[in-house]
Amino acid sequence: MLFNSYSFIFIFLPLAVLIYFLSCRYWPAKVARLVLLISSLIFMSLWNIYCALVLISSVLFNYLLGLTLSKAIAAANKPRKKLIFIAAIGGNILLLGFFKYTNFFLTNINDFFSAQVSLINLIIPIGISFYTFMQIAWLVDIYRNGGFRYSLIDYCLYVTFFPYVISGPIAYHKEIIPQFESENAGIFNTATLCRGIFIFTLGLFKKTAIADTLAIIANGGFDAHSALSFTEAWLTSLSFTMQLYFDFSGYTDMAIGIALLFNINIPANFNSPYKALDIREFWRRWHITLSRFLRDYIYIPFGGNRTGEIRTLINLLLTFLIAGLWHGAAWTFIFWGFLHGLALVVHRLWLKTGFHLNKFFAWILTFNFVNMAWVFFRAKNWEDAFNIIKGMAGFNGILISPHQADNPFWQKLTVIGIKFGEWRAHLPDTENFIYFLCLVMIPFVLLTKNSNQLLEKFSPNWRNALAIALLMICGLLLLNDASVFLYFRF
Amino acid sequence: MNYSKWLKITISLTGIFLLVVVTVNFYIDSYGVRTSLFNPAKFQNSNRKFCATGMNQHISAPEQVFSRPQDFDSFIFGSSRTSVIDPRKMTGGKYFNMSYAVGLPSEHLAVVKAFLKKGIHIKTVVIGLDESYFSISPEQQKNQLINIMHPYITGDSLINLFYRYFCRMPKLFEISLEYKRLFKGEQKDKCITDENGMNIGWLNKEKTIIASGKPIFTKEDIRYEPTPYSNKALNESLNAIDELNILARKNNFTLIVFINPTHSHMYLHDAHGLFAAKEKIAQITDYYDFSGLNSVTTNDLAFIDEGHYRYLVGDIIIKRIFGSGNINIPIDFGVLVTKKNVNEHIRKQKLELKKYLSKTMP
Repeated sequence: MLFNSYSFIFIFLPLAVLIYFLSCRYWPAKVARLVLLISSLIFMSLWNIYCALVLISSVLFNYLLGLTLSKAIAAANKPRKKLIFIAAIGGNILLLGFFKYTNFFLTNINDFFSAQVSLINLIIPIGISFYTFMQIAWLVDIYRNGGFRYSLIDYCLYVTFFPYVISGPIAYHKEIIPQFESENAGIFNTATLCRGIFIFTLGLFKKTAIADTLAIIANGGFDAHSALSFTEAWLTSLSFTMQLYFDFSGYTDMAIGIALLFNINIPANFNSPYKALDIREFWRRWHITLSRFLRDYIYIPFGGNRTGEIRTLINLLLTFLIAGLWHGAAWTFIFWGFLHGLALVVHRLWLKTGFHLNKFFAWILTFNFVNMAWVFFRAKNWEDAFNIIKGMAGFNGILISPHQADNPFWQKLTVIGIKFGEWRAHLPDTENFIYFLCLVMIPFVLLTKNSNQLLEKFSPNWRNALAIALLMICGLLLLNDASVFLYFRF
Repeated sequence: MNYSKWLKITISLTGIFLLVVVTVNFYIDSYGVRTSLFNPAKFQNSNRKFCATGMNQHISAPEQVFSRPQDFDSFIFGSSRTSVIDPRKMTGGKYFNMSYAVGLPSEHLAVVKAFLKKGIHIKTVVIGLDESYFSISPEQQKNQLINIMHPYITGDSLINLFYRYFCRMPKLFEISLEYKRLFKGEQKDKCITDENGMNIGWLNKEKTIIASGKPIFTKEDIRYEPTPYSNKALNESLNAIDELNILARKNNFTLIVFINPTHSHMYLHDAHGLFAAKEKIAQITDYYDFSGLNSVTTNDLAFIDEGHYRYLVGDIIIKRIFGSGNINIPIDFGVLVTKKNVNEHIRKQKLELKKYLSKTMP
């Protein structure tokens, strides 16, 4: 079931909220949490019962090993502690690897050894990348500090909580479970409800009105099997850059809004990432919960920056190679991770020189790097990626509308290879404004406050009631064209 | 303002806005769905101007037959290309032109099954095939508002259908077209049909060509870019044609299949894909092939645009298949292809293509 569907917005969500708060009112808090857990499992089952079964198996496996680990630590049994920890982490990696990377591995074996091993017909359980990381974080925390023993219901609810189980944010147990256990958790609060509706509506609008509109050009350009011209390639890449942001941050806003309806605050995932002036800042603003997971549970365990400069650079690169692989089982994803890792390495070395770039140039450099790297992230294969990159570099020709053929300014530019022709021949035939929406969105993301900042300042008044009603109606009426969220595939 | 008041105002405003948009969508009825289902008689008024974006003929055409089942026993199926064929000129039955935008064989099959289920007696089914049959899968178009099929045929509920058409944000181009229709009375190039299902939206273009004796479209530069066809779409279409053939034998109606002509420039891109498709279709049924490089497809005057032939060409097709009408048929236009002559036919077409390419693109 999609967040951006009528059945979710008008049936599942109101029923889940109503039943939860009625349970809180008439039954003990634990029963209410069980009710919420059942709602979450129903939500997952509505996607696919098989996905729900994999989720339940993973949760029970981790809970069992987590408790055993915690007990081993309490008993100061070091060998047992290490053994259980390795088994638990290994189990999670194996589970994720089996579902997500088996066919990637087999394809590479086939390519490399010219073998013909049959691929396995596997459905990747939705959300597995997210809930596996959340559970690894819990296990590592127990291993490091001991404790963190929760009841089965609380733990299951933490992992399966439907606002974030499918695409994050990757919330930590220590920031969510105490909220479930809090005395105020079950008290219905109109202010929180309004805040939830506010940010949910912003997210719905971002997804249905902006991201799905940008998707027309992005999908058309990436699916075109012809060489894209300069303008086509740039419009395609920028449309995807903006689409991904509005899609994923829209999803996260909706997740935050839904969680607020249950009095639960989940962490923000975005903080205007395209305002970043360097790549390190970008990763502090983009997919924040993934970045902190990578830092806390991969980069630091590798040694972080405590083991010498060269090792630090290698750690950075390795962390981002893993980030690339986490996003998808394809070499283009790994290359995307490598590019970001390399950029962080270059940035770290640059800082040591003591030079500072002008803010404008720093932004141009960062934004364009991110935009170019997204091409590898989105492309289905190397050929598609290089087709776009070549187009962006002008190798496939620069075309200007034939209507400009009489314009002396453009005529002069023909000496550098600019030609007059159909500049959007390989893009979908659609309304004119859609081609340029990606360009309009650049100043928009730079100059406006993001949804979390707006939520912080939210206080009820006529103006925002009218605005939210308008955005809500746009979001709802555009649900007819709804597509799935991009990050569901990761 | 307190939170409760804010909540009430926001929900009320959302409800009001929703009601306004749904009412406006229902009134303007951009795709003619409301009119098709509740006022099909309106289609018999050939002077009307409605449906800003053009009717959804997947709904309007079957509905006209459902509402007047006694009037028709024979049907011509196809895409916008076949929509200019005049059913009144066809012999051996009471014909209705069932053409709809990018009509696919699997859709024709579903409609024929629905007619039979409704107890409509069928004498003849004529199917005009396009190259799109071998490149477009039904999946690709089932969610497009111009292509959603009649609810009786899909089994979809009316509520769901109305939700899709009326509970949605109108696109900018629809608003612009609707504005022109309502306030300026304009409705250019949109497919509107007469009571027998023939598209009358292009009659003015036909008149212009006759009056001026000149082509009305600008030809693009000649290019040769063979289009890769999807095996999946081709197989889906072949399976549907095969099933129609079986249905025809079982229900004792005549099935006539033909391949539509396209302008030679457009044909160039599709020729290779079509050769493979033509060979396979011949194994299922005989058919008339009007495509290729012949005196009609190389004549700009025979076309409204590169993809659509004129009403006049429709008349020639009828004459070739049914022998009716007072019109001369160019000798090279329309070959009856059978299992026996298909290989020879394709060999000839390949040779013609080679000659044409060496002449036009040396």
